[in-house]
Amino acid sequence: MSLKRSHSNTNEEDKTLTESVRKLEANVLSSHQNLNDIVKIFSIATGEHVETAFVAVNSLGRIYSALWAKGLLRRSKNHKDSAEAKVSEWLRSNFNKYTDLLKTMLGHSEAPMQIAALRMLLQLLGKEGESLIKTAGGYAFPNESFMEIVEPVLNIGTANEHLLRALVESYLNVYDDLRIYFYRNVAKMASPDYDPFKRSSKKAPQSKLSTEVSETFVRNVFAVMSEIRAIPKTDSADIKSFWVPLPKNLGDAEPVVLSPSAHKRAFSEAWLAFMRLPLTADLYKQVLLTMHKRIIPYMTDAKGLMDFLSNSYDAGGSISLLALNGLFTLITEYNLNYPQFYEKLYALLDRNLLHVKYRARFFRLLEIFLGSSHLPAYLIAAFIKRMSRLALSAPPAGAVTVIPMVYNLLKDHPSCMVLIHRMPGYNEETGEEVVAEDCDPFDAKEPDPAKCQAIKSSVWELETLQHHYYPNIATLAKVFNEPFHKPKFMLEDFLDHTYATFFESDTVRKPKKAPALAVQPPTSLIRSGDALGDFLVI
Amino acid sequence: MGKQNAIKRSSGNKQSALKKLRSALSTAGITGANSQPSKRELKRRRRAGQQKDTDKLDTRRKKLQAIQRALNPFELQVNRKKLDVLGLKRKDEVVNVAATRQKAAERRKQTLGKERERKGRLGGIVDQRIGENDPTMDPEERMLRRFTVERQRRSERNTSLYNLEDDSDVEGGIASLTHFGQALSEMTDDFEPMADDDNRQMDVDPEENSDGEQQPARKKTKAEVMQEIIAKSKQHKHEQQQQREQDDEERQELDDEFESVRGLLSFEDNVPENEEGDMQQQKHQAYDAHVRELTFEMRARPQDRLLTEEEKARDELERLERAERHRQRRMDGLPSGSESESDDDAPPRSRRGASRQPVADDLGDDFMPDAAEDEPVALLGAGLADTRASDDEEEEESGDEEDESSEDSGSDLSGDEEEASADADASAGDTQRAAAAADSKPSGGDSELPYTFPAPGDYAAWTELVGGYTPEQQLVVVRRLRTQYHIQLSPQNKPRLGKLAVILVDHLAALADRQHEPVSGTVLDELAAHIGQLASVDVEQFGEHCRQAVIGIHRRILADVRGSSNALRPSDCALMRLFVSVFSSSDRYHAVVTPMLVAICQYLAQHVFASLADVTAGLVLAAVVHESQRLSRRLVPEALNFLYAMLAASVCDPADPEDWAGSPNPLSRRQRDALALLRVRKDASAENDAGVAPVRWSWLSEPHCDHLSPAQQYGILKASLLLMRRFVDCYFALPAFAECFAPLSPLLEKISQRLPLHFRLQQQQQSGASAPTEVRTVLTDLQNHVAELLTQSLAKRQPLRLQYHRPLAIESVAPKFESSYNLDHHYDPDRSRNEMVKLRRQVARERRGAVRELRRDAQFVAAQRLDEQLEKDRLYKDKMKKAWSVLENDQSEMKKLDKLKIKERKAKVPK
Repeated sequence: MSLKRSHSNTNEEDKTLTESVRKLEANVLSSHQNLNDIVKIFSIATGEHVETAFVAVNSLGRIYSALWAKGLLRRSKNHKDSAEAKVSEWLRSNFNKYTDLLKTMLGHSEAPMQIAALRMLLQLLGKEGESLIKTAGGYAFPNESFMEIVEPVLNIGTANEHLLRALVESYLNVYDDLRIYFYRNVAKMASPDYDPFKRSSKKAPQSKLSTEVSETFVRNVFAVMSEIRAIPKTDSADIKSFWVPLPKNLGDAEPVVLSPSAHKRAFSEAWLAFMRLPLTADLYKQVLLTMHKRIIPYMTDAKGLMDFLSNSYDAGGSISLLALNGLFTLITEYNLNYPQFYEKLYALLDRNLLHVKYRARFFRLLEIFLGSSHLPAYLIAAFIKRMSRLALSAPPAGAVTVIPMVYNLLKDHPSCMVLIHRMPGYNEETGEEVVAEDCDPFDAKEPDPAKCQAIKSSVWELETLQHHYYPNIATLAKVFNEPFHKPKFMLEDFLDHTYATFFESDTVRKPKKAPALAVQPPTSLIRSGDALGDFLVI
Repeated sequence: MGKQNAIKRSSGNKQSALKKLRSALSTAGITGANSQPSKRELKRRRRAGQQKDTDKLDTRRKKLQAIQRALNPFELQVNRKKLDVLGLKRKDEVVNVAATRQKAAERRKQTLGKERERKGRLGGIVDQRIGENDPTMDPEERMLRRFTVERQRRSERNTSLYNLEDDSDVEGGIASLTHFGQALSEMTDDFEPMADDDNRQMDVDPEENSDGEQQPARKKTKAEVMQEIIAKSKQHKHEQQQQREQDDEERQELDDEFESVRGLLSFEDNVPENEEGDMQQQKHQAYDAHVRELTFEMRARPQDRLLTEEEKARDELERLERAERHRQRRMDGLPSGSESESDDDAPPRSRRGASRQPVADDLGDDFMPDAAEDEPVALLGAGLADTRASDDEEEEESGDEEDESSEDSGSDLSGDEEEASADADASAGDTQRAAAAADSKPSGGDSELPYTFPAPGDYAAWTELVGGYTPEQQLVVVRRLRTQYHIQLSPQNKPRLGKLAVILVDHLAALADRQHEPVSGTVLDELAAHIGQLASVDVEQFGEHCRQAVIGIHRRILADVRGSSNALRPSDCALMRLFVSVFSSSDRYHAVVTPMLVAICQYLAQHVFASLADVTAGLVLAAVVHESQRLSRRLVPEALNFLYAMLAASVCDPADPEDWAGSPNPLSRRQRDALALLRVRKDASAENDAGVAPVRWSWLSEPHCDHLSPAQQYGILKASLLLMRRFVDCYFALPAFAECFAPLSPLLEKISQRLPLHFRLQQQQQSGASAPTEVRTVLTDLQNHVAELLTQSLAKRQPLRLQYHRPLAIESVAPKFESSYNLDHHYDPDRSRNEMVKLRRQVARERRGAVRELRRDAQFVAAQRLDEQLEKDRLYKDKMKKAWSVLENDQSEMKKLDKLKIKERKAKVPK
């Protein structure tokens, strides 16, 4: 549709055209004789003037709704050559043209137009459904038409946030039947053997969609699916709002839309199909981030996610960190048995950990994983030693999480106290004297916590943190020198620090007393013997 | 005696009383074979006479008494012991009650009885002969003492007999005051503790009794004490008298001198002279007015006395030590606030500057604050002292001379102030300062500089003031401002100088940022020195300004970190370097330095170092971090991480994350890509080997230079190595030194392997060593150093013993049970309450004891009184008896006589 507009006599022309559209619409609706006027309106709708085209499109929508209600668009059961059938055939072809127009409107650059088109399409879909029910005599949903709507919506490349949000908020979150069929369609579209051209030959011009699923499709699907809040319920009584109204008699079999398990299945299949798609790293992380709250609880069989999560967990890096959350839910609630879980967890404690932004999330989980008092001391010791080692080169925000974590671990596992307090000659297993020179047998590169011998070492790293430049951390680290009488730290209080929060807490209030000056005032900008003097020339 | 009894009791416990008596009598020799003396013995005794016999009787009686006492079980009170401890003897195991009572009665008779006897008596004789009643003195000693006293008195007898204050009146002299014939000095004071208090206690513990009898040192008599007091008071009076005279003299002198001082202080004597009569009064009033004025006169304030060189040195040493102590405390995070921040010895330097009074020798050559003696050149800037010498006095005394002086200096060829002052100084012989002055050659034209300036109130005023001058001239302006608004000259100068400090901070920043014509380091140095000295004038304002500056810097750092907008300015680096040295950066928490470190660390950790300016800023900031931790040696992981990244960047491949795995911190892809500019190209050396370019301050202002020459790359690599070495030395004492620097060795090894090797003969001939060789020496040096320190650190490492506490008792839930509960014992766990109870009991016991004593005394007195009454009655009875008997005799005589008379009469009557 062209955006061009003649600047002269715009208003008058618009007015006259709008008038004529109204007249034509009234004509069409008043009698079947004037059905030919539809073509005129359509020509206006495809015309150059945006406003009038819009009016025309709307009026066409009203006309087709009425026609659906009258049953004129229904494929007649009568003889093919009857006049009725011919009219219906002609109307259908016009209707298809109209829907095609609407579908192209979905890709319009302006959001209101997109949304209007969507609304119109769905309205017509509803009318079609009603008429389908009339003919079928039981429940029916015009899924093919719906599919044709969903597909272009999900394939729009740019500037579609408003459209997608409108789809989710005013339709998918509200109407149960739309949602279940949406899930089904997504599952269908995401399946590897789906061929968009196969279904209807006339849909050739969907140019961008190739056989392999496009990136925009994946992104859009996620955008929609992650926003769906009204998740399928377990109680069939909750399913009560329908876009295509339920008929009085439901027929022999209970329609699919009324079964909660069907909803769940559709949901699961849609997500599983989605996860099989090639995801970008960013999407991957987002899926993992929402996994444990939005997806797992509503799956029919959460074990289906096992492969996905295990693969993610094995991927390493931040993806592993994120997969941990979903994996945890599977382990605790779905009885997943994950071999060598703690070894992998131990491997996750690499030098990146305290620098990435997901560390808070990870530490929350780590606290849970290491919270069991039945874990062996060597394991806890390995984790403590590794975390301390990491804290040594971490930013203050990282170090400040490690200290309370280690404190809590030591409190839960007193057998690990040897890490911070080892009397000479003490060896917990044999009672032999420990040779002094071998006081640090810890092997930082050993991936197996059972073999790294952390329990025989000491955490000098934590003692070093007592000499941290940031005074709060230094004070906090002093806690290891005190008797372990304090209650466990609330880890949550220490997770969300950053440089900015530290700086702000230092500068937000005015100091009570004047800052102390140096004992000797400077005699020059750069002291002689200063490190700067080694290499800098002013 | 007690001991004996105990033995007897223990040996003969089972015997009957009769048997015991018999055996006791026989062992004592009263009965049995030895009891009767032999005839020979009797004969011998008879010869010796009666005397011996009574002796014998006496001993016999005593023996009998002893036996009687020993055998009477009712007189012994046995105190049972709870625990029989072998070898432990107690005094009161067995107490002979009767004997004790007897003793107490005796004692009362001696004390209370005597007192009673003397009651109501007047007069008496007191034996005051020296040493007469002192049994410890033998007669010769006694005579000697008396002789010496007599001689002394005779020699002192030079004043009147009637002089009451004199003490030569002892023996029976008129002046000796007496009361009832007793010298006043001898009489006991009512409020003095009774002399026999001790004795009263004695029946309680008889052992001490014997000690009380013999006092080792003679107590001073009252008379002696009084004499001493009088002597003292007389001496005091005399001293006062002398002092008064001396004061009078001094006052007179001062009065005389005051006139001249008044002249100096240029007071106008506005006494109206017309009223001749009130002249004297007028004069006094004028004087009072002057004195009142003087109290407000700065120059007339009393001065500290002149200190000797030693005292000055000692003061300075003390000041430094104290400052260092406070710094240590702050470093440990302890509050030193009350000591260091408050006025009493606030940063001691400031006290010197702010409140030290100029002493007399200051006037001559030094009227500046903060002119610390130990750093003359740098502190004063170039030739500051001479400036003072040349123009201070001129300015102060007369503004008119200014032109002349400037013309004078203008007549010199150079015409600048520095030169002029240098001349002045050279003549004064202060060669050191002269040299310093010559060092900083200003750009010239100081003669046009005015000598006085309005005090700038803010930075805008300052720029207006010095906008047209060169930096060197601006320094001169600063010096003159400091002279003109010296803190001692006016109370308003303190805020002015405080503002100046703040302005100079801004000015330093502005100079450091100047792009077109970079300022020389000496100018910045002197500015920094000025700031350092002026900071103490108003620490709060200065600190607040610096804090705001740090907040601004942080804002720019945030912008840098977020969008790499090159917001960090060269001045920020300069300011941060300045703050580290102006403030006490070793503090555990410092309102300026701590946030600054956080900001620096954020920059070092998160910034993408993409240009020469970025990398240089990073290096400078890392050095600033090192400087701030020079004394406190706290761990700053970001600085180490940054240096690791710098080192790794010189040889590692940005595309291969594995290549960078050696350093402890991860770098993002962006950071790695950006750091590629530091990667030393293998072939680079062949094209242009210009040696190692030292890191330059000017590099900071080249934000868009993202292609480095090999020389620059080598320069940065060398700087990183040197800085790393500093940190290695700094952190050696940390317990996790090995963990911190363990990755360094492999990284250095990697660098040394990958650094291009090439020997260009020509180059070596020219400049001694090619760039890689120079870097390589630093590198191998660091490698060896680190390896050595690592082994040392690992060798001395001990297992941690952080939980070395007093062992804690295991909490018990068993009820508390005392196996040998005793009512007398206190089981109160509260110590103070326990003490209270103990004290209360002691008081009660003492009170009971006192009451008992008083009761016994009363009983004794009553008994005595009864005795006396009985005696009196007896006497009366006897007397009456006698009287009666006399009367009866008389009566009977009379009757006899009467009878006789009657008989006679009867006989006569018949006649």
